[in-house]
Amino acid sequence: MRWIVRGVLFVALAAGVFGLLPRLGGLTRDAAGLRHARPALVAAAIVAQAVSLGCYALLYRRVLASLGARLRFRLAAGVTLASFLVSHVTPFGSATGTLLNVSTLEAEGIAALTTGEAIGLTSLVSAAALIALFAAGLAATAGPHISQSYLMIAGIAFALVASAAAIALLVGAHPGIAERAGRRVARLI
Amino acid sequence: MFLAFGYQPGFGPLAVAYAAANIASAIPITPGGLGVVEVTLVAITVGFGAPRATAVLAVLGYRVVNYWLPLPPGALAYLRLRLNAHSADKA
Repeated sequence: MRWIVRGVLFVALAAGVFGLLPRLGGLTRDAAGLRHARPALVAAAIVAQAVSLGCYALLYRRVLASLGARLRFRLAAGVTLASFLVSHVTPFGSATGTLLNVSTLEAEGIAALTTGEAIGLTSLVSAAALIALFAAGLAATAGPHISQSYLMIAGIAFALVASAAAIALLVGAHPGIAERAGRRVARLI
Repeated sequence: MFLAFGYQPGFGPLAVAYAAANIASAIPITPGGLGVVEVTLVAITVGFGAPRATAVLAVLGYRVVNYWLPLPPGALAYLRLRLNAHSADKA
């Protein structure tokens, strides 16, 4: 009975987020223009996305290995893809993704604390790359004539970058936080 | 995706928009930053001079590739992990 209720809730949420919201936002009309995209470049984008997910799985596997936990690439890729699914279709998805990682790797004999630490460190590396990209973008766009709107956009983006960096550093320093938060949120959901 | 719609944005604006949108998506307002990423990317790229219609199309196209396409393989991977865990529990 519990699984049926969860299943119904999941389908309702998915229908709401992926079916109703785009219609309300008027995106259905805009989406029709997607047919005019150049196919070769769309194919290149799909390949780049696949490579990006593969690299993330590889990074996660390397971080786990550096913590003494060996994992087959196939399993690391499977966990990465499954975490991508749950984190993109459930509220508080990062926490649910963490829980999925912890429970899956626990079955493989990897301690929850090690998984929490690996997730924290992987997020830290990912956040550091984003910060470097953001800084490079800012350096490339900053010129002698800086407009007010540019400063506002840069200010908002800088606040977001600083918040993400603080969270990533906190989780990196205290990996248990990710694990505990994941379990707590999963209980609530 | 901007190139696929015939517009070439500069590296700087694209880097700032991409990094800011990805960081904004970390705030758990909607699953996977749905809506947050789209608004952030369109707002920043238009703010840097991209035509609005092209920016909307490019961002929608990017999100189809970046958000929607990995979901089916993700579902398969999830089912596989659950089935493996179930069979391990039985054994």
